[in-house]
Amino acid sequence: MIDIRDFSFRYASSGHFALKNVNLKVDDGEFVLVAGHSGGGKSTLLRVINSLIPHFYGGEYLGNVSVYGKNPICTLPRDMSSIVGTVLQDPENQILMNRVETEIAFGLENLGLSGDLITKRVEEVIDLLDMESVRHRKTAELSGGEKQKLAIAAAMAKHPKVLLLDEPTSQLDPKSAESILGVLSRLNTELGLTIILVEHRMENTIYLADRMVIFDKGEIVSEGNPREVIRRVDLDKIGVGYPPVSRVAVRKNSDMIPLNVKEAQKYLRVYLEGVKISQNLKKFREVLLTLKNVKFSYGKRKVLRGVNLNVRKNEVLGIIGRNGSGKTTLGKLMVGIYRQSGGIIKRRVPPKESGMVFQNPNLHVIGDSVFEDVAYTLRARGERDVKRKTEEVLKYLGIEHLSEKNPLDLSGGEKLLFALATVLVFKPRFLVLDEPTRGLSWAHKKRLVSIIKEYSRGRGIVVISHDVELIARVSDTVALLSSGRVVLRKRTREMLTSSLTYSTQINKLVQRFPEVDQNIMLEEDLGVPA
Amino acid sequence: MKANPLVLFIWLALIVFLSLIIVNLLSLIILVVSTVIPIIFCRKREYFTYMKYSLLSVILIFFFNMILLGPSKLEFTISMVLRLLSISSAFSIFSALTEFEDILRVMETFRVPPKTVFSFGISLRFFPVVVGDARAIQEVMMAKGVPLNGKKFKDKIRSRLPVLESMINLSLDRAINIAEALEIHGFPSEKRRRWKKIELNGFSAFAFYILISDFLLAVVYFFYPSDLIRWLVLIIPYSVVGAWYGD
Repeated sequence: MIDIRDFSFRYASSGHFALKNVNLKVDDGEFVLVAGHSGGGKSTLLRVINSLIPHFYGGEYLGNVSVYGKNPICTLPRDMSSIVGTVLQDPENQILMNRVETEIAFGLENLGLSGDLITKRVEEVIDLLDMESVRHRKTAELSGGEKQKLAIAAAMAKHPKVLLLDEPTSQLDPKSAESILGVLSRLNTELGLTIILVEHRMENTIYLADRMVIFDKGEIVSEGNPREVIRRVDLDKIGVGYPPVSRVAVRKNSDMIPLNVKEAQKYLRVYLEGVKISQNLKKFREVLLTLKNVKFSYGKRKVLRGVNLNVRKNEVLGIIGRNGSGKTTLGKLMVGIYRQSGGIIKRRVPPKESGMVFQNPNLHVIGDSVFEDVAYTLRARGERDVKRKTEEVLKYLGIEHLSEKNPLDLSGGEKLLFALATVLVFKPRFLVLDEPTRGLSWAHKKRLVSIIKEYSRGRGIVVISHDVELIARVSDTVALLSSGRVVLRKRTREMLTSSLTYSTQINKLVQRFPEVDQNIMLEEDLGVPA
Repeated sequence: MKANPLVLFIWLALIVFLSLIIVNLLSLIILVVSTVIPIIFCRKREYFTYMKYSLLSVILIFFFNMILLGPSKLEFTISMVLRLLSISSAFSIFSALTEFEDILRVMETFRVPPKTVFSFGISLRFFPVVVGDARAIQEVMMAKGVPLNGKKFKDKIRSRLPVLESMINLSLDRAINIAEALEIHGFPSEKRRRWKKIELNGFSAFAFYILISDFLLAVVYFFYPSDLIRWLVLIIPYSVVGAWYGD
């Protein structure tokens, strides 16, 4: 059992407490979902339990913590690691070995187990997590989902009593994320393992949890059964957000709050009846970019095999598709980072007036202040009036208060806005955003949606994303990329409705009732503002 | 089949030592050839990639030496080039045939302290990741319309400085993440035991002892140079080429 009493913690480099008077008890075998706005104290809580606080991250602390009889304050992380398994957010930086088997064995070697026992443990987790097909592979060759599964396997091999996961799906595509969440659900139900999961994606996780804990500004604002928590706290207001079906139920004052589509079928049908979607189709005339039979290869590996596509002024084009289908490569070709190996790209906007925001915002960091990094873009381009333009863009994105901060110290959502600022500062007429919602809280996603909509006026924007809810909200048209080709391009509502995979949660519910308008896609269509 | 990393390490050390102590041109040519033969058996493409860059530096060194020392020192220049070739070829084979874990196991066999082993090993493991970062940062610069290829050399250097700065920032951030990951894996630990130790069986044991003997013979040659010992020292490594494969 985990027992945290009156615990507060302040990082050595910070002026305020990251955790304030936290009281939390977690029983054996519980699945606890920890949610909250970025910077709310969720990751700090996990660091307290695995004793990285205070042994790795120093600071001031008050109160008591007990984790299965051990006090993390007096126990080194290496000694806690046998009872607490931890999986971090970034799959790239937590895997230390070159081969799958040796990565699983690494923690066991550090525990000083015998060779035979290590062999037994490695075999059992490979079976448990169904990793036979990748056991001899190099870790660098694994996909993001496989890497996270490996991180779980390495943690599980130590037979921990509790597994901590800090946004394990934030860097993954939906399919890999589902696979990881499926594994967690199985470990919890079949082995009775205690799981504490920090997550932003409410719609995929909330129904798995026995208990939900909501953090805001370092304090627990609510905890309990997810349905009770949803009734007690306005999750939209504190930036966590609801699963779309739950939001409809809450806003319509439904007696029962569904947590997933299955439950929503019983209780939300009444709100779908009589809804008719009238489509005001935007018209686009001026073409900014045309791709004709565009091909691209990395060495001998063909990535794009003849893409035909155009982007028009005032249009937001969403690009969806499986991992490895060539979405990011296509984005880089569009802004002129790569040159096509075949086909024609006709540009009305030169590459110098095109910009791209990469999926890892850390790549946009150069120096140690937000203001200087944003100003650098203008200076390096030889533009004038740098100070005024920089201040303008920071104000436009609502991050002027962060201008003196080190970009690497920002939260996930703030980092994205910073990366966006380094590009928007020169006002590109054509913009590509690659997976902009990875690791973002609901409040930041909402902010991003309004920025994209506003910025698209008089310009062309391409949004590459697996996040169907985002694409549904911002895109005018959607292109589906598969095996290096655009296999379908349609208006958003045509593309993202009546689909088993590329549909919003609300539309998946609608599909269960053929008699209602099948074009219903978002909560907004039901009169529920997100 | 896979080379035994311990045998390979001893072989590498032997080639480096011989390259440094032998001055005879014909003997150095034989030494270079002895480092090329294993690649016929293992056919690793990585070897040729590494050697491509080595050959470029060898050509540069040859011309610099010719310019600075003059044609009168041609024999010395050629011997230096051959030394560099044999050493880089041996290192290329070692890199092509071993993995990060093999190097860790070899270092742990020689009882190098675990912290040193992992500092070295992890820098090797994340080297390709850092190279990928450098490429990605340059792409980000291009995506911001920042010119990276100025006309003057000075401009080129100046435009690439922020890339370096960005890489340092990213690497520092990554270093914290890796340290955190090491802690949650229970490292460092006084109880640490290796899962799979390097075992010397059959051919690999034979190769190991032959190479050790050769090393001792090379030490004898260093103090008491003679033609007979030199030829023996050079021929012995050929006899163990096939012994890497088989365990």
